[in-house]
Parts: sequence; structure tokens; C-alpha cells
Amino acid sequence: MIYYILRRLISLVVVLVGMSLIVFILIFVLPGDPITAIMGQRQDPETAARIKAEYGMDRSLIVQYTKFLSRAVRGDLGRSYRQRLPVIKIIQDRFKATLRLTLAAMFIAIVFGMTAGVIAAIKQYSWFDDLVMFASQIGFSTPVFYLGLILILIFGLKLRWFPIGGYGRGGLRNLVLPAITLGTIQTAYIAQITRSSLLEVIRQDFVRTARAKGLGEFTLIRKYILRNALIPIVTIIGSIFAGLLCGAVATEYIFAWPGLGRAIVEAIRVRDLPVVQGGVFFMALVYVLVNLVVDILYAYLDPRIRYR
Amino acid sequence: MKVLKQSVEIKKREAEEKKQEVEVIRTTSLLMYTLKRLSKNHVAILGLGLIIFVILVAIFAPVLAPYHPIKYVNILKSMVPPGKEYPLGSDYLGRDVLARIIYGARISLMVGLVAEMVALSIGIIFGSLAGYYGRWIDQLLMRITDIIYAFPTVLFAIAIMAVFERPSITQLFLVLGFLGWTDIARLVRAQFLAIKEREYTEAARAIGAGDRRIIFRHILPNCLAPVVVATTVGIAGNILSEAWLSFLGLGAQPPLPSWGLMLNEGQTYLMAGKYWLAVFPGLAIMVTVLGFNLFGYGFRDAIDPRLR
Amino acid sequence: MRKILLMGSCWLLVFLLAWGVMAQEQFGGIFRWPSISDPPTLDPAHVVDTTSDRVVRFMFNGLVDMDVKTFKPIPSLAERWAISRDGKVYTFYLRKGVKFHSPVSREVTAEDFKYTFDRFLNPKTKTENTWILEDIKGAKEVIEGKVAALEGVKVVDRYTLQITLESPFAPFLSKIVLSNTFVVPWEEAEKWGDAFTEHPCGTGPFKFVEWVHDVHVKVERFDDYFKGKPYLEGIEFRIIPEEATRLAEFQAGNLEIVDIPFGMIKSMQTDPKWKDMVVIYPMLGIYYVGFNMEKEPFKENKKLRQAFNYAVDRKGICDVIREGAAIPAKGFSPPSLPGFDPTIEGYTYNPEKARQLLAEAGYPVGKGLPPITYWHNAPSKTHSAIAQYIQSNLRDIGVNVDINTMDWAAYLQFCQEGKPQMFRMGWVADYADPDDFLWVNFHSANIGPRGNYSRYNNSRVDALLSLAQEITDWDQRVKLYSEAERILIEDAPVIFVYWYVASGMLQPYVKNFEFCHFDGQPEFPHTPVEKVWLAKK
Repeated sequence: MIYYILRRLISLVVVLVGMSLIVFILIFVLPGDPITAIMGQRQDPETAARIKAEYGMDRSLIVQYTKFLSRAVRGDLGRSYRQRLPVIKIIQDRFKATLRLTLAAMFIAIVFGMTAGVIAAIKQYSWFDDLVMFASQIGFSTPVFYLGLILILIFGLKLRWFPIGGYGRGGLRNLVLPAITLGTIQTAYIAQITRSSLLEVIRQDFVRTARAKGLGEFTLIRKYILRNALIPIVTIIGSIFAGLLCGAVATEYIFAWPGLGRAIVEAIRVRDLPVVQGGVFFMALVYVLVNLVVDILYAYLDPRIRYR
Repeated sequence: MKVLKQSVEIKKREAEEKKQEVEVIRTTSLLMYTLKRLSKNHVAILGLGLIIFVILVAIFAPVLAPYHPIKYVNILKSMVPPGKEYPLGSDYLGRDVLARIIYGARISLMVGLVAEMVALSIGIIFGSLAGYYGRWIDQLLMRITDIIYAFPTVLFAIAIMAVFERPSITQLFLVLGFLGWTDIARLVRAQFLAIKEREYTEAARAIGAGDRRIIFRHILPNCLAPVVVATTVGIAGNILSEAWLSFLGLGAQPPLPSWGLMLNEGQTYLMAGKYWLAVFPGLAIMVTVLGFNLFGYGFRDAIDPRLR
Repeated sequence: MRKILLMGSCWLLVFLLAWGVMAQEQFGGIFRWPSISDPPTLDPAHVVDTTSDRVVRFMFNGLVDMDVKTFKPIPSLAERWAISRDGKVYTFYLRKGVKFHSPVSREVTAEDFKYTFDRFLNPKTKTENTWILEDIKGAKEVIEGKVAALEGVKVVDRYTLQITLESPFAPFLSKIVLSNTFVVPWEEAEKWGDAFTEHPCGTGPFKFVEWVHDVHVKVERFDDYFKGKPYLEGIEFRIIPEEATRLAEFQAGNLEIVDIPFGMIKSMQTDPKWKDMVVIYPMLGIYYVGFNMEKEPFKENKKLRQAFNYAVDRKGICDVIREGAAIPAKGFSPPSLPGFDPTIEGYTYNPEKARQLLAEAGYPVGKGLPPITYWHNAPSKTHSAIAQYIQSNLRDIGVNVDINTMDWAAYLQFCQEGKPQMFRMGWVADYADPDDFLWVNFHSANIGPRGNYSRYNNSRVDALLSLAQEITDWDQRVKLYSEAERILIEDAPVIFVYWYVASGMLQPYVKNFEFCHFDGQPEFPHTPVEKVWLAKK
């Protein structure tokens, strides 16, 4: 078990370093730099050069990257060129918002997805089952930002039930529409996986045996079926969560949600390298860590995996 | 009680299917078997129908579109709601929304298909190398796969666009292709690993079959079915990604009638009540992606009956 | 009869009294002001954008300020000034008793201005807009780090500051209206260094309370403000990036002022509920499409450039795409710029003439033209719509151009390096003088990053603009600029598209909010906030 975790941790480090290097090279190669962008249309080239030198932006790629790495290991991710704030602070603030959104979306997805999946599995081949399958297919086919626009149109503009965007005062009303948008597509995933996983377990022989022995319905579902079906479901939820944290960009964009995804995209736009670097680094870290936790959980729940 | 009755039903159906399966396996290969099951899957047929519909629309665009999607500009007829003159309304330059949607099918399909071809090529090569040689090559290639999998699409898209200085659809093929091969690689690798160990491989070697023969005769044909599924789903994903990138301004450039671009332009006018600019292109995306998804998942169901 | 008269006059009295009370300025209230983005800085030295400018102007003052109506420099912390005959020496007599906010809380002296100016050009401060003070004698040495103090800035006595320029520069006073030169206290600036932006301390009508990034900036009334106690209790500068959300908040009564989102101007102007709150006025800005004078096919082909100018339907762009919030441009300098010459004829929409000129340029019906690409920065709905419309206008006369876009950061560098053939640009006034429009954009000394993106090089125009910079007689200068403008229009280094119009909405209970037609929405930086009051129950 320990060996397993160790192996995964090592590959985590490799992935992180590789990712940060690629990101660094990409931004380096990109035309346009943050100082030019800040200085605007009328600028003195000598001043620009001087400012860049002050920030160390005129050194070679290798020098800059090494500097970045040496600082990053100590936990210093530098300062944003645009806002002059420490990158860590920016990541903290923005990640809180992303986390809120993701948790809300996951909540919706798990509650509705699992319910639908369970009912669909129990009533297999019924109209409900077909409805759930078809609905989830439509869910997969809808672009996230389109769903967001439609929700804004109906609930924000026509009915005026919810505000059309922004973090607001941090209240629940602003969270509803973006959470629904983000959560809908995940609901489809979870419903599908719940359903197929449950079905797989139901068909198992041990279920037949338990029934033959006279076990009641609910106890059966609760103790045996769900527990075993949960394993793949948990895995999926884990990787959805990881993916959401990194990929809620579309929703954040439409609803002007001050999340980390959007912060990174905007930073790319203005070539704010420290923010991009730190942000992507953080995202990758979270992604890999969550996956790691899920994998460990999986290995713990299903002993067969451990001995591969 | 319900669950018991249901599992009895399931068992009955399975017994039936098994009988049919045995029949089929006796006479045909995996591919033919899959195709036969596919023809019985209504949902997959629907998907195929949608795909063919969209392809036909794309091919016969010049005949179907009432006005030229780009050249017909009439500033005096800007923002006309759907009606007699413009079936789906006109945009801010007086161009016909319906015509642009029809021609937009060409762009979406082209991007979806070509990008997937790129992804397929890379994926098959990577997966084969990793699966075949194993050990450290496998580890290295899998790390690379992890990095690419977690890499933010948007950053990559911006970088490629900037590097080429003249952003166009061609860049999209590269971006989506270079980032979309991970699933296929993993599938191919899994097949390689699985079949490598099988007995008939040993047997084949014993009689002197070389590596190439084993690969092309035994391993790759088995990959075919899951790869087809991954490809169809991949095309669906590419169309969604193209829409997202164009929405961000990183894909098709104006005045091309890309659906994603139209959504971008439509979002602004949503608040002003001119819903037709955004709603219809979104529906077009949904229908097309749905077609590919339905077919892909239907195909997967056909391969592996247990999941149905 | 007498009773009625008595009653009537009583009611009249009551009415007048009430009206008088209602029209009386009230103290109190928080003004909630929207912002498109988080201000990059609150340190005056680093202000490069209108968002920072607006917030800095809540908290800081400088030697001069801008007259809201005429745009001319008026006294602020400098009570009066004298300019030497040769136009090189400016002597400022400072107001006495102007206090800094706490924790500094002391009187402002000429020393403080010297410190501010030296700090501004010091390379350690990493100021971006060093061009604002580059005309002062000794500026170059300070920028290069050779000396720490400006030779041309002298403290004569506690309240007298003398500035000597390298050579006479007529628009100098207009330049220092810019908030970059607003006075900062050395105690705080030295204490915080680069972090001064998080602890701004100045002399302005409001003092800093807190800054929650990407959420809001809060300032509160400074009772000892030198112009008198401001009416507003405080200002909350709320960061709301989505234009639709800003409008929704305004309509819900959560904002006192707002900009109107793209595409909504007409509906706001016709909606009976909102139309009286709409404010719209011409601004000092121009939207143009530049030609690269050093590249084919625009290089040395005046007729081709003129043809393009006749081909564009400016009215369509202004009336439809901009919904009337734009004025077709006849030349480069906008009508409200001091020194504007109304007699100048510009280009009109004349596709026939365009085709004729195209043929005379050597490309009849567009035959023989090399491929041309029209660039603009993305993402922007306006630029995209206008680009596509101009593309179709040009198609009508036989010219086919491709459209391509780039991120602003890359786009700026791209244009600075002179790479595009046709590129979209805008120019909004930094200071209210024709020098800012014509010299910056068309003098050959500024080719490249300094502002002349068309890479236009005309020795006659150069001479006119340089001379106009030095002489101080206003009427003479206007004549020179007029002539330069005429040559520019004839040479057509750009397609003159439209002059900017600003628009916004103001709640009816906001009183005494003076819109300065120099400003754009939603910041309106030059509105004197100490005069604004809210007539709320």
C-alpha cells in the first residue's frame, strides 16, 4: 500500500514539473509581454526596457525558469505583474470562489444524478429508464456556455428570478444559476454511472443468493448493492470533481464568477506570467492530488487493485 | 419484491441474448456481430440519422441557404426578428442567421473530423509504442499522456494561435488534435497489454510469427471497436471544443459562420432581447453533438451487451 | 376673498419652503460606483488606465486640475502660476494649509512636490508613463538612474515651486493635469515602497478605507479637504466585470451611475422608465483604421488610401452598429478638442468616387491588389462588427480583405513593430491639447511604440507640429494645427472612422454631478466628487 502511494507521488512530481516547464516555455514564446500591455499605446521604449530589466524579464529562458522553480519550492510563487499582489493570495481568493461553485454543482449533480440513476436501475427498461438515458445524452451534448446563456435568458432576464451573474455579496442567489449550469452535465454522468454500476451489481450471483436467503429489499439495497456499486461511482465523482475544479472556466466566464479558471485565462490574455504559472501549477496540483486520493480510496475499497 | 422480479426478468433476457450471441459468434467476426446488434439499437440509429442529416446539410449548403452567409450584408435590415424575410432572423450586419447556421455545419464537421484524425494518428502511435514495449517506455509515455490530459486547452490554443500569427481553422485542427489523443492512446495501450499476455500470442510466436504480424493481425483489429467509440465521442467533443474556443475568440475568425462564434456574438445581444442570434446556433451544436454521442454510445452498447 | 388669498399665499410659502429645502445640498450617503475591472494600482505614479485614474482622483490632488467645461488647466494645489517669457520656466505658488490624510496629517509644501516628481522618474519606482514629465530639464538623467533629483525642479521656498523645461513646451500645464503627478507624502511612500499602492495616502476629498481585490474599493469623507467638507459620506467603487450585471444593479437601485451595455442604448433611450436618466455626449476620442505607410500596397499610394476612405459607410457604422453613439469622423481631431477647425471638409461615403480613385491608383476593380489583411484586437464585439462591415464596404468596390485578430498584449507589440498592413486603433485624449492628438500619432519621431503606428513621415507636418509645441500664442498654434490637419486628411494615412461618444445613466437623486466631456464611461474621472450630493430620504 505504502509502495503504491509512493509511486503515485513520484509520478505526481514528474507531471507537475513537466507541466510547469511547458507552460513556462509557451508563455515565453508568446508574442507580447505584460509590461507592453500595461504601458499602453503611448510608451517610451527605453522605459519599457528598463522596467523589464527591473523585473528580470530580459534574462534567458533557463535563468528565468530556474529562478521560478527555486522560488516555487519554497512556496513563493511571485507577484502578479498586473496587480502587484502575491500570486498565492490571488490564487487563494479566486480558488475559494471556484471551490464554492464546484461544491454547489457537485451537490446538485450527486443528489439528482444518483437519485435518477438508482431509480433508473431499479426500473430498468421502463419509460423512466429510457427518459434518464436520453436526457443524459442531451446533457452530454449541450455546450456548458450555451446552457448558461439559456438559463440567463429564461431565469435571469425573462423571469428575473435570479441575478445574471457576478459573485454578488457572496450570497446563495448568485450561486444558483451557475451551479445549475455546471452541475447539469455532471448530473448526466453520475446518473449514467450510477445506473450501470448498480445494474452490474444487481446481476451478480451473491445478490441472488442473498435474496434466496430471504433478505428484505431495502436492507439488500443498502448493505450489499449500494456499497459495492459505490466503488466506481466514487471514482467517477472524484475525477469529475478534479475536472470541475480545473475546468469550470466556461461557467465562470458566462456568469462573471471570480474563479481561478477565469483568472488564468485573463492572465494569459495580458501575459501575466506569474499568475498563469502559479495558477496552472496549482490547478495541476489539485487535479493530481484529488485523483491520487480517489485512487487510494479505490485501492482501499477494492483490495484486488492493490496487488497489481 | 420489485427487485426480485426484476432480476428474474434480467436473467431471462440475458439467457435469450446469450442464445443469440452464440449463434452470431459462430458465424461472424466481432465487427459483424457489433454491426448486427447496432442495427437493432434504435437510439444509435437515431444518432446515425442525425449525423447523416448534418452532413447532408453541410454538403448541400449552397442550395439550402436562402442568402449568402457572408457576402449578403444589409445594414438597414440589422437585427430583424425571425419572420417572413429572414426565417431565423438577421444579425447585426443584416446577414441571414439561417444561412450562417447551414454553412456553419461545414466548419463544425470539418474541425470535428480532421482534429479527430490527428488525434487518432498520434493516439494509435503512442498507445502502440507504450503497450508494446512496456516498462520504462510505457512509463515515460504514460507520464506524457498525463501531462497532456491535464493541460488547459485554452492556454494551448492561445499559444498556437499566437505562434502562427494568422489564426485560422487550421490551428484548431492542431490544437484539438494535439490535446485529444489521450483517450485513444490509453485504449490502444490497454489492448496491447491485454493481448500481449494472451495465450494465442505465445502460440503465434511459437510458430514464428514476427512482431508486425502480431500487431496487425491480432492486436489492432481488437482495438477497432473501442477506438470507433472513442473516435465518435471524440468528434462530438471536438465540435464542443471548437464552439468554446471560437466563443473565446481563439478559433474561427469573423466573418466565418462558426456556430461558436455566433454564440459569442449572440451573447451580447441576449440582454437586449435579440435572442435569435444565440439560441439557434446553440441548438445546431446540440443536435450535431447529440447525433455523434448517440451513435457512439449506441456502438459501445452494441459491443458490450452487459452495459445495456 | 381675503381668506382665499391668505390660504393661497400660505400654501405658496409652504411650497417654496419645501422646494427650497429639497434643493438644499444634503450631507450624507454612499455613492456606489461601478468598475469594469479591478484597478491595477492606487499609486498615482503608476496610473495608466481610467479605472485607476478615477480612484486615485478620489484620494489625491496635484498642482492643477481640469476645468469641467473648457478642459483648460485650473488651479488646484497651486493657487496661481507664472510662466516666463521664453516659455521655459513655470513658477507655481502653492495654496497654504492643504493637509495630507492620516497617518501623515501635515501640511503640503513645495518639497513634497519635488519629492513626488523625483520619485516619478526614478527607475526604482518603475513608472510606466515617464513621458509625462520628460520635458523637464534633467529628466533624462533621472530616468537613466544617473542622478536622483531633477535638475529642473527647484524649491524656491516653502510654498513656491519652480520648474524649468528643457525647451519651451506649450502643453506642459495640460500634461500635468494627469493624475500621475499628484502629490504623495514621502513618509508613506518610503515606508511602503512598491506596496504604497495598497496604502494610498493623499490630499483628496476622500481617504482610503479598504481595498478587497476584485470586489470593491471603499473610501470615506476627508473632513479637512482644502476645498471644504465633501457632501458624500463615502464612495464604494464596486468591481463588476459583466456589463449586463452592472445595468441590472443600476436598475435595481444598487448603483448611482452606470455605463450602458453594447446594443442597449436605443432601448434605454426609448424606455419611458429610463430615458430621463440617460446621459450622452461627444468625447475626445477617435476610432480609426491605420494604414502601414511603410508596407505595400499603401506605401506611397495616396489615391488607394483615399479610395478606401471614400468606400466606408460611416453613417451605417455610427447609426446601426454604434446605435447613434458615435459621430462620423471628418478628420482626426474631434470637434470638442480646443482648436478644432469646423471648416475642414472630410471624406464622405462615395463608392463611385472610391472606385474611380481605385482605378487611378492602379487597381481597377481591385485587380492586381496584393492580399490585404485587416487586423484588430480581440475579443471585442464592436471591432469585430465594424471590421466585417468595412470588409463588405470594400468588397462593394472590388477590394477583398481578410480579417484577423489577436490578443491586446500581442496586438500592441505587433503594431509597434510595424507588421500589419491595415490595423484598427483608437486614440483617446490624455490631455486636452491638439498636440496630444496630432503630434503623438503622426510625428515621425514617434514612429513605433511612441504612438505613430501608421509610421507616417511627412517633413512639412513634422515641422508644423514641432513649431506648434514651442510657441505659446494660442491662435498661432491653432492655425498651425489646422494646416497640419488638412495635410493629414489629404494624405490619408488612416481611415477616419468615427469620433467617440460617451453614454451612461445617472440616478435622478444624484445632484450636481458635472460630466466632463473629456471623460468616458463608467469612470468619468474628472467629475469633481466633492461637489456631488444625494437627494435621498
